Amino acid sequence: MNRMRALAITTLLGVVAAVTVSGGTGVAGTAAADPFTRLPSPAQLSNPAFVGHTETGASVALVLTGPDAAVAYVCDGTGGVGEWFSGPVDLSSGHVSLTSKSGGSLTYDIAARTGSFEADGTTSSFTLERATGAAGLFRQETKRNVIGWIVDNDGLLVGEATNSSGKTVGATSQNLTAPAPTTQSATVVTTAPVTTGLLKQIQCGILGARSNFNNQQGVDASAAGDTAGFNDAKGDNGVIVAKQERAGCAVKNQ
Amino acid sequence: METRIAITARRSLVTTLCVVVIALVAVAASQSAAFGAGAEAFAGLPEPGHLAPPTFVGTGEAGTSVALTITSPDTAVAYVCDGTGKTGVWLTGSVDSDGTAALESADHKSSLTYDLTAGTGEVTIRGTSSTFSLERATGAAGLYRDTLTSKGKKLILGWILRNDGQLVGEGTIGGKPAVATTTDVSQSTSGGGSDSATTPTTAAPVPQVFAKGLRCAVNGFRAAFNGQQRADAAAAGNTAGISAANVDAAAIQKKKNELGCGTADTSQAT
Repeated sequence: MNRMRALAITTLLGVVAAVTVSGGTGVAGTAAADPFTRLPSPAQLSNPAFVGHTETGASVALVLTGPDAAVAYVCDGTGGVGEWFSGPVDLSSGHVSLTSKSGGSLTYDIAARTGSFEADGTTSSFTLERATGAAGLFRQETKRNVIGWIVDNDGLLVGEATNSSGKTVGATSQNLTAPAPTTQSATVVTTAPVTTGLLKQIQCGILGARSNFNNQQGVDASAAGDTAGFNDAKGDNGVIVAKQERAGCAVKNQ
Repeated sequence: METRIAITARRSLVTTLCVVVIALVAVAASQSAAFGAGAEAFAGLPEPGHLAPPTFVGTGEAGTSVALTITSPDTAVAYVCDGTGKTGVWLTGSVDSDGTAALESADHKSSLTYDLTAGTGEVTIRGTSSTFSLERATGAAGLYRDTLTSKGKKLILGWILRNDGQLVGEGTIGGKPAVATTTDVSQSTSGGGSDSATTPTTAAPVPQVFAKGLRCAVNGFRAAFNGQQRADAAAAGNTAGISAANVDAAAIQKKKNELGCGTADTSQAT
């Protein structure tokens, strides 16, 4: 990343933070008043998800969205690969076969846990496992953008934002097991001009994933009697919550 | 001659502009349509920041369901519910680095302790203590909470879905139980209506929107558990299991359609 771009991103993030400081107070106030805010509502019931990687390290996620439908996403978190697949499936065969809008295809054998996808003339194979804890496939749509996220079981988060023409405008790759970077500009790569609104969404998505993963780490440490690990998670939680408040991220059960 | 050329040029310009405008509108329309069509298939995906707090679920001595959710590394909430309207207690408290959680209800009349390492705990409700065992919630299992409002009344709903598919829920209005349900969502729905298990716990009529919200939520849990069963069957190469899950899915969808439930599995929450 050149210095000008880094400077531009840092400035934009600064604007996001400045604009949303006032909004953050209300979120914090609500969270403190209602300890149940962090419980999901029945509307947030999740579908079975599978996560894993290709041979070259790109993340792959597949979700069974209904009895006869599935979606998948392949993303390397650099802006190089980011492809959505969808389609009807007949699970009685144990095979999922999906297509992308640009003519790509993806197949997956649920019992064998292996699959492959073809996009832009290149074929890659991958292996998936059932998503557990905070892992899964996430998607956010706005009028202008679609953001796709994959969190794998090891805590690797990759994401990519595209505009309504399908052009990549930003990407991120983060290891959620490591402490959050002090500046998002270190990890969010913008490949085209983006709005402060989109940067906020990306930032809040990362913080949400961090929060979920950090809570898993905290509870695992506590159950194992790992005081240092528990205190680390506790400390990280304070940092994450402060950032969510500063950025005005919504943290609620709807 | 010059005039004719000018007119021709102007007509040409107008034609060009029209073509450009039509083309732009067409491009915008196709993009919008493509965006929309793509979006529909992905409606079942959660948004980033979706809450996935670590949760433990299980049962107590008397068969009462217990769920405990870690809301941050050192805070927790728990819910104890029997699904009949007799017991439905919310507790909040802290988690320590040694793996112990200590919680109490808002009125300080009930308390709960849980040992994350041992997986066991004790709850005291109105002076009566009982022990319980929990396990990590998997798949669709967990602790859920929702608030529905209608005509100035507020229904606070709590749900525990255990790993074995036992679902209990209770809704209170002004702190008093108004509706409750206990359902085994692992069982086939094709033989009967799942909403028959939902019972009002007060003599006073419950607003229709609340009853509907409860029934739709039950069917949402059914659909989610059914999805997990299908995925498990597919992963195990269990063709009969997949077929059975598909039959159930059709029955659940039929029930949801009859009830007029939205695709979001529950009625509007506020």
